[in-house]
Amino acid sequence: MRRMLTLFCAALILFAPLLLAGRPAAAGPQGKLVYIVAADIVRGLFQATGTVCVQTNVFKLGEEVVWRVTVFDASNGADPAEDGKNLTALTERGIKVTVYLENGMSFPLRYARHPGKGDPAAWLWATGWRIPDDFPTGRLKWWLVVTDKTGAFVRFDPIGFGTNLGAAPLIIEKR
Amino acid sequence: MRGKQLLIGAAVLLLVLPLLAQLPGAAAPRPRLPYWVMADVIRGDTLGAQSSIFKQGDEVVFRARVLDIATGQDPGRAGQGLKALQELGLKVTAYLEDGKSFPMTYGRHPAQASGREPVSWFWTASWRIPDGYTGPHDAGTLVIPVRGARYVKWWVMVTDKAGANVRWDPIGVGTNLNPIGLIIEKR
Repeated sequence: MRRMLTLFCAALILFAPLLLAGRPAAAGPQGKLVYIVAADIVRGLFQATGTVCVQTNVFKLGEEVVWRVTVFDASNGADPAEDGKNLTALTERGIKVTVYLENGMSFPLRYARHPGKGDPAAWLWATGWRIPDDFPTGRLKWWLVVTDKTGAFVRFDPIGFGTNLGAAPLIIEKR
Repeated sequence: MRGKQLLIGAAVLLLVLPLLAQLPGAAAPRPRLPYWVMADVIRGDTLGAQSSIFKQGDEVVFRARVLDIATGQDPGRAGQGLKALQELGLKVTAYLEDGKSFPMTYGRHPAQASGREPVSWFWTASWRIPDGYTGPHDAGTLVIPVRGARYVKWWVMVTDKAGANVRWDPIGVGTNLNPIGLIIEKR
């Protein structure tokens, strides 16, 4: 009986640190915020009514909204695809970047070189949306989500999201 | 007797280990990037829309949000953690490449929110572009040239007492893509 008790206590002492290390309270939030995301929106070339490729959140019907996003690994601050040199890393990690509009529309972003030709260039995620001519005018919230195969889920909201500030949503006006 | 001693020892260990895990020294190593910084520029007019193109005399408002990467939370806890910001010694500054810098302040936006109007807490600074200001670069050399205008590059730095030093640059830094700088036109 005493031997069993001794063995039990020895096992408890040996394994207690392992059991405790697995508790969420001790592990902290590490692994949650695995990506650092930056995003902006610029006016695309299509039917532009103002200067092209400058940041704005105010668009006219028929114009093109372009989302541009960078995704960096939070552990080292580096682009997982190493500025286009390691595209397989994106596939291996299964990184997906998607923009969502509050009306249910969503747009997957594609990782590519910008500008397409010429140097210097930057590698980033981008997508464009041509606002239909008959789209309802007004304010439209947007956000984006980065996911990967490991279950990472990082949401980016524009600064001031959820307030009535003018810079957070897309503002769509008549042409 | 020995078994009893072991049992007591195990019980003490079980009680002490969780406390040890909560000590700062026992925490996981701090990530190399302690802060997640997001920034943009908006127009300092009534609409406050995002823009990277301005005219001389316009007001540029730099905005930044700083989150602790370890927790994903705003260290200022939406205005409830102002003391924590002081303790951290968090400083957020917008820089122009021509040497100008603008210390940003953490505040509530909109400042004059009424009733239950939703508000957001973040860092801001503003700069009224002088009438005679000319940026260091010709905006005609950008990927999509903007004739007759000039541009100046900008970035945001976040520092704290612990020696953190995080720099945020607009997307496309190092290229000639248009949004890398503030494009400033003559009025």
